[in-house]
Amino acid sequence: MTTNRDKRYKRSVHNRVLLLMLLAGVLLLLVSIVLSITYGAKQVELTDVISALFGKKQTTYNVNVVRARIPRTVFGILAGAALSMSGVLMQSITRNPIADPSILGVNTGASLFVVIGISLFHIQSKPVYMLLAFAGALVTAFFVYRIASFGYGGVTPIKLALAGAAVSTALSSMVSALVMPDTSVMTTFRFWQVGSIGGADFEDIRLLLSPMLLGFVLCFFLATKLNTLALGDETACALGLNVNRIRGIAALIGVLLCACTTALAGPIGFIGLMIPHLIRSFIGDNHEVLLPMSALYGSGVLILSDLIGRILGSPGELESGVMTALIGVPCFVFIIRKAEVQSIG
Amino acid sequence: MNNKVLKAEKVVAGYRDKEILHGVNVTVPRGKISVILGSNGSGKSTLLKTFCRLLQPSSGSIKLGEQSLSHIPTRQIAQNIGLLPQSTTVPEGIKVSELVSRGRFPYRKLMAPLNAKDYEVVEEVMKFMGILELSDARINQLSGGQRQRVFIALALAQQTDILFLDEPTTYLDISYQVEILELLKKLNEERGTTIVMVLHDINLSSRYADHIFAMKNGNLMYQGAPEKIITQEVIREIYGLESFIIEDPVSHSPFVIPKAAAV
Repeated sequence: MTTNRDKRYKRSVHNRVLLLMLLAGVLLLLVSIVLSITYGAKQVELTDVISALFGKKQTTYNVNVVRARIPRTVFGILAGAALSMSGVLMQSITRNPIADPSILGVNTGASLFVVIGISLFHIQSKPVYMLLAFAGALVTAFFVYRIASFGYGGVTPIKLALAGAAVSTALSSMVSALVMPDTSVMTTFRFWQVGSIGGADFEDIRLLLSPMLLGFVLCFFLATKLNTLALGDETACALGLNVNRIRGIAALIGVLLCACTTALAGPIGFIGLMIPHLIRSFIGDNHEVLLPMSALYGSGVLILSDLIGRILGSPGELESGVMTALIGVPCFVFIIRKAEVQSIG
Repeated sequence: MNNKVLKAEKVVAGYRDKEILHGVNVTVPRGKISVILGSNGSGKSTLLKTFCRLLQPSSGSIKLGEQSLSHIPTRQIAQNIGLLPQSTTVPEGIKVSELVSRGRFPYRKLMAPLNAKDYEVVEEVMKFMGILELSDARINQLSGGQRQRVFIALALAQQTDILFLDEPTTYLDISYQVEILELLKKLNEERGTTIVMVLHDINLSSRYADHIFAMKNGNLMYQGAPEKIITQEVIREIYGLESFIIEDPVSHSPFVIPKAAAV
């Protein structure tokens, strides 16, 4: 009896950690949504916010300012979740805790296609950039996956990481080769390349919504399988998991989620690396909780980074990609130090 | 599914274009502890991996009952054949009970949480392996022997009639080696689980095995009870080693005292 009560107690402690994290995450997200709509380079009154959200008729300048912040906030929620979940997937399939969504060359592939569009075809339209970036991301990821599958043993975590690193390096030098000689290309490209959720409008979001939602849903179907994959290829295989198929599907979904974000916002670093890492250090390597929790915190942190960028950069703004790295690096150093202490003690 | 015989028929297998097993016929004795012996590179691990479908035979087949493994859904195989591989990966920051519960994977339905039966099995196998009081510990806090018991519990949670173990005692102190082998013996005696393992230690094999497969250069050379296999002649042929054979004072099985390797 005592053991049963003990066990129940311990399980409830574990659940309490989860509940606390969930509440904190929801709070973070809600607060950052409210702040993201209310604050920015231009100060507005609370009444303007309310009338922007609920009143239909008024169209004062301030109301329009607030309305213009809504799509970037909505896209921030989606992008933060997508990048974090993509990060979880990439870290699982490469069994590499410092893998991020771009490990399969998604971002450099997208960059290269956009640069080619700008420099060789003089494209100036945002939807076409989106299309190019999306195509570039997918093509590169498939290419990397194909390279990693050559040789004995199929796609192994180490071969994936190596192929990704090699292709990324090659493609970024091609990007440099195209960008460097031409200042006008450089000017157009650099805004895309920094990574900002500020350019999002509802038309763009509508385009990306269905692939993103599809990615989110598929992630949850994969959670238990990823838990099994985490036991190592041999154990996973003995437990009846088709290791290569699951790794392929997870890679596809991870690339899809990251490509959707990159297509609209450009490469946003650190969220996909930092958030899964941070959440895992609290709740352990259980994907059934890790995936939704990372999505929640990813959304909150990305919106917050974007907001801080807007306030610090005022009257202009600092792109979210800059802010995630500025905020992310100190956090990351903190995590690494904590991990070190754990491994020693 | 019960009482199906697992056998390898003329299995040829290997890595890339290097053939390691050259047509091996093995019938796994049901309800017994079998040990595969052989020197490094003899193909004993390869044979075990082929049995556990980590490797596909390039010709021949592994059959469970009348069916070839390649025709049975992988989940169904996972409910019949368990494996403790030589090296295991520990997911970060999870509890012992959580790790053991992942052995329930072959029985889980899509998106469904662990059910009452799963919890019951997990608790029962942890009790059997003597790790129930560790259920809330983290894996990295455990000793080598405890860790190995956790991973055997994971394989037991799979509830299979047949369990393969690839060098389960490597890297363990002698006391832990004996502890693990005693637990496996208990598993075999109390539940009739068929156990097949690769071991390096001939004397422990001789003590715990009911049946020994002796391999050399990718072929099965001899098989039978330890008394029949652990002889000066066989040891010389399999390992190229001159030896004396005495009787193990504890188990009365043959015990090998090596002289020097034949050069």
